[in-house]
Amino acid sequence: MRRPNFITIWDRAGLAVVVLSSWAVFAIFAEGFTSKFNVFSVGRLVSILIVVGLAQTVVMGIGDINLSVGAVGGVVAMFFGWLVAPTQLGTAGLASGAPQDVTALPGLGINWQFAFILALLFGAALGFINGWLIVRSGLHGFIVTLGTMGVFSGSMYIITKVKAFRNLPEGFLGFGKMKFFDLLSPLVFIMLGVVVFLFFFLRSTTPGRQMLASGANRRAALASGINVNRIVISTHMLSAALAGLAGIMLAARIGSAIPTIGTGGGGDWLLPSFAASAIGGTLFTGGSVNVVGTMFGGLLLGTVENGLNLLRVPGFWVQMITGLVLLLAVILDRIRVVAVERSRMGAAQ
Amino acid sequence: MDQERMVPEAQDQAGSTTTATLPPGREANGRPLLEMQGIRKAFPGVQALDGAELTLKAGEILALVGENGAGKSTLIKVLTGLYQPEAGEILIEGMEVRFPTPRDAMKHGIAHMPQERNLIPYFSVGENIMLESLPRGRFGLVDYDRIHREARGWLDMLEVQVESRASVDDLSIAQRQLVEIARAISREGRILVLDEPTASLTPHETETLFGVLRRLRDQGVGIIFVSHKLEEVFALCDNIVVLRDGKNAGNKTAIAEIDRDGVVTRMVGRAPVTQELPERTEGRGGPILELQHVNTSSGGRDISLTLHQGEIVGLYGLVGAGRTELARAIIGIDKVTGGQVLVKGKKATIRSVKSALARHRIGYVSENRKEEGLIQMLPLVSNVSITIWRKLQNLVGWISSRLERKTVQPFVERLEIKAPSLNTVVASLSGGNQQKVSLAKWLAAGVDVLIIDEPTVGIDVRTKANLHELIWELVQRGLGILLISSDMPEIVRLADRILVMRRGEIKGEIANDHDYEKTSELIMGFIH
Amino acid sequence: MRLNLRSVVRAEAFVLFIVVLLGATALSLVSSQFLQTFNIYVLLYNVALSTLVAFGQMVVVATGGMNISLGAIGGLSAVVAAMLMEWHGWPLWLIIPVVLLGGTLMGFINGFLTVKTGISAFVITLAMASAYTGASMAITNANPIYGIYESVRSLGQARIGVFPWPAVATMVVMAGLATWFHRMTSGRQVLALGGNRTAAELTGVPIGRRVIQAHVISGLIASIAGFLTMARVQAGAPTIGNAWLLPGFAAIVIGGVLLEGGKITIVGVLLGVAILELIANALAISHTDPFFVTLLQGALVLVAVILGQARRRMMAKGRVRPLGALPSTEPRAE
Repeated sequence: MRRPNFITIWDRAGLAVVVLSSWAVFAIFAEGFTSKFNVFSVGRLVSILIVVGLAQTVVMGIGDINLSVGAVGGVVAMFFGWLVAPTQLGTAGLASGAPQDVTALPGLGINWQFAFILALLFGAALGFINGWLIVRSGLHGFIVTLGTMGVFSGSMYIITKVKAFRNLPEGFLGFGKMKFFDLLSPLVFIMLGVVVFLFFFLRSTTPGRQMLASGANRRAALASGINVNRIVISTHMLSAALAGLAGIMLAARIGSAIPTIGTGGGGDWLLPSFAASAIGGTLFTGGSVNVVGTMFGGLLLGTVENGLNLLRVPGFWVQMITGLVLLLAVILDRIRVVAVERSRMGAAQ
Repeated sequence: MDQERMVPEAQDQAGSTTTATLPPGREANGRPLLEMQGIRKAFPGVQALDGAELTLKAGEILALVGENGAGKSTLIKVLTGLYQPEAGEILIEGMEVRFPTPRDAMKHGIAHMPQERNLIPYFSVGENIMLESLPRGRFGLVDYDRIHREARGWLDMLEVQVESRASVDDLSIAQRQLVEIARAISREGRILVLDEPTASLTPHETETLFGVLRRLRDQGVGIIFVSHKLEEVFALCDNIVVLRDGKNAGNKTAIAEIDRDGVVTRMVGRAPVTQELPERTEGRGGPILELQHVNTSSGGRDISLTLHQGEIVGLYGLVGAGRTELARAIIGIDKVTGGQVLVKGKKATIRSVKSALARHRIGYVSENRKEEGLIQMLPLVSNVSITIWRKLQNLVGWISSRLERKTVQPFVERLEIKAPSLNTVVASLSGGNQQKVSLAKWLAAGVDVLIIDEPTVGIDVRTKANLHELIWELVQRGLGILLISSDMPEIVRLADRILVMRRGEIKGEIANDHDYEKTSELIMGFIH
Repeated sequence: MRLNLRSVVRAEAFVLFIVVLLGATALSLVSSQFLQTFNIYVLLYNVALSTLVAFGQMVVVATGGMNISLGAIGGLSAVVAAMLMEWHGWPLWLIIPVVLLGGTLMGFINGFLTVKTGISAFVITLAMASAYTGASMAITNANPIYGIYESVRSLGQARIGVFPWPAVATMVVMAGLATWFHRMTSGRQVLALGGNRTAAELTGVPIGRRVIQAHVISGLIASIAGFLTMARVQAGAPTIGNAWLLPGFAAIVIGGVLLEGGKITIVGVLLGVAILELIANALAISHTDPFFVTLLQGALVLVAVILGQARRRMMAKGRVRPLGALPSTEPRAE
């Protein structure tokens, strides 16, 4: 371990300090911020945001980007909805004689836990398409995922005719509303599970380490006997599976699978995914990811969003602030990298 | 632009520098056109220039020669504003000047043809030549007719048969090189610097170029000609400056007063006094890597070589001879397109580094530590264990960092890698230690054949000796090593046999008896 | 320049031209609606606006960068113009320069930050996009502003036969870009630095200034496109420009612009837009699900870039490997 000094400590703990201070500020000024219900709803919001951020973080780890996180999230959520929605649309809840809900779609009525697994595999399959196209064409992820973003969401809109899967099974809806200690959603535990898994995956497993090595220096990784192509594909699969997971989590939160998950409804995922990663210290140039950082990044973004909502600040300010925070984060990181390089050059001479 | 200036005047005799043809102001104060004095420039781990000097008069063609890494290119880059020297001064006509950017060097009339490829893709030949100041016509718009007309003049001068309007992407390599030369000449500088201008030219094209350069000289231009081809130096240049280890080897000498052998002696010098390496006790074993008439996708032709267990085969050649390309083909980065590769007597097809390593136990220590050898932002321990992560993981795929450190530690000790800890980021290690790390990762992987490419470039003398002993010891332990080096003393010191490569072919083999003067003369014989 | 038939046929744009021609012919045979004056007018109008968007993207791509904030600049420009009309009643001759100046200013901010921080244009413009969009939302409170002048409304509808008057702006921008990229030193230098940054630097190209300039022009074009879109939809909606990213990139990659920078084609981009708009038009005529447009745009991006890549690989195979590209063993600054 490097010798701890102010900078390395700030590197590790600075973000946590910022998050805690934002909590303190909102606790004082925003009425209801500390209420049990608000903590519960912030927990759900933040968990989804963090998983979206992690979907981007892993791809940034190999020095690539994934513009299709939102599209994949929406498509996987809809796929999940299709699997679990009842085969016949019930008329329960509608006034007798009223026309059937025209915006709802029937599904397959599969057990939701099983469907959950299938949906994640489906997400990974979409990621395989991204990764395979990138590897075969030798192009950057930007343009490939820009294209697949259009293809994925376009096909989904066409297939679903922009209708939603509403009558999701009770078990799943209950899962979304479940509270532990009257305070925490199970989504928080899913998120924590993903964070812990990724943390150790990237640190202590061969594929995880090979991902980071490929991101840090593709040529050196190749020259060290790593199958970089396979790494690129599996990273995109992981990213898409995470985006899909976030989509299902959002469906659990809002209680239905709607097509605009990831791209419209809850705001576009693209910006927050980059912002959470960059705030957390993950580099756009690859090789250096900070899973815990992304968690705190998402926590900060979610807290600020919720706090501003409570203060009745219109939602678009949140988007603006997210963008500016992203800008600030990358500029600060850049300054740090340049400073480190300078001191290294100085030491070498 | 007055192209007439380029046409030699009828009465002008070659070699005479009649001031009448010089633009006003040239050599006004009787000082040489260019003086570089006591130039020093260091890179991490290496003193590239250590008080180098150079004087150029108007109307002189000066040869600048030296072995790979002698500092020629660095000196040129200092002169053209790409590098800033740490010490020393540059004077033009006795006035001290500084070139913070290439633009400033240009302003002082220095025209440069760099060694690297330097054309703008998708642009026409003419525009590439005239790019520095595109002529403008009406409304300040770029005047293409004038561009192509003027470019035509420069192309005709060099007898280049390409359309000025053609895209540079459609040109052959020789044509591209000629376009770059035309660009440098078109700048009409007082000082013309050509870095390996003839590398891909035919003899006829070279002769035409020389004619042009002589004419320019007669008009008072000072020309610095950097080349590996000594015969060209003798055919063209008036004087010669030899660099070795960043210093001048001997003073500037008139070309008539020195012969080939004299130049070669200055270039290679004497072998540095180093301790004798101990006698190796293990003899050489059976062949472990054989190439039979191998052709490669990267230009290797009909290459045959055999490497035995417990043997060091040296591969010498100039930059661009195709040695690195051969190594990359052996380990599966580039393709072997013909012939056979045998590993331990069995025919082998190696398609990736992964299979070279896992199936055939061949490793490659890249010459390019920074971009290919190491992952600079990762810690030492990961850079060594990268080749064995799969072996270290347990049943559930977990890599215990204790086991990892325990595995890596012995290699760090054996190679005497000096680092604060195993978690130190390799970027902060010295060049020598970085090189040892890139050796260590292959040793950890347990290879039988190691291809080592330029192991000591940019490494200081003490560490260099240390690395030599290390390589020696590895062979003693039974590895077969293919040593690629442009460092003559190094290859003579280490190799059992030396193969000399030139333009993708093996030109000759020398059984090395470690007698520096004799062997270096033999090697030079194959190259020049 | 001399034209000969062979070079015309060999040109990439020629293939696109044939595609457009065949597509239009097929459409006119299949559907009687296609050749109706109003439909052609709508088609040309769409082409004119989309071409502006594609050009705005192309200018930055020429440097090897990209502009994610193109739509945000367009949206903010539209909103500001509408705001100045409804709330402040400024005269039009003042509003237009102010809006265009705003676009160039936003472009300048993008370029300045990209150059000064050394961070990729993608990240900078992604972040700035949210700032610009946030500003439009804040101004309008997320609702469109409808109080735009009658003169602007009629501009949005103005046409002679099939020709929409706003297309004049597109033609002016096209001529301007053609002049800049092909006939002006600064435009040539932008392409040079996109093609080979080091070489461009060695010939004295002021890299930073040229990159900023490209961003400025991109911002300017985005604000023109934003203003014209506002005139067309008759409202200053903050959502104008929301969906400019995909079609912009689709048009330029179909047209043959290299994403690495250094190579543009104005005619190619125009034809790329024409192909996209013909498809959209066909879908509209046949009352097909409009989301097919998104799907096809995405698919065409993939097809275009993969074909382009394959073509370049084939061309590279036919060539010898340049000797100058071999690695040098001279010590490098580390």
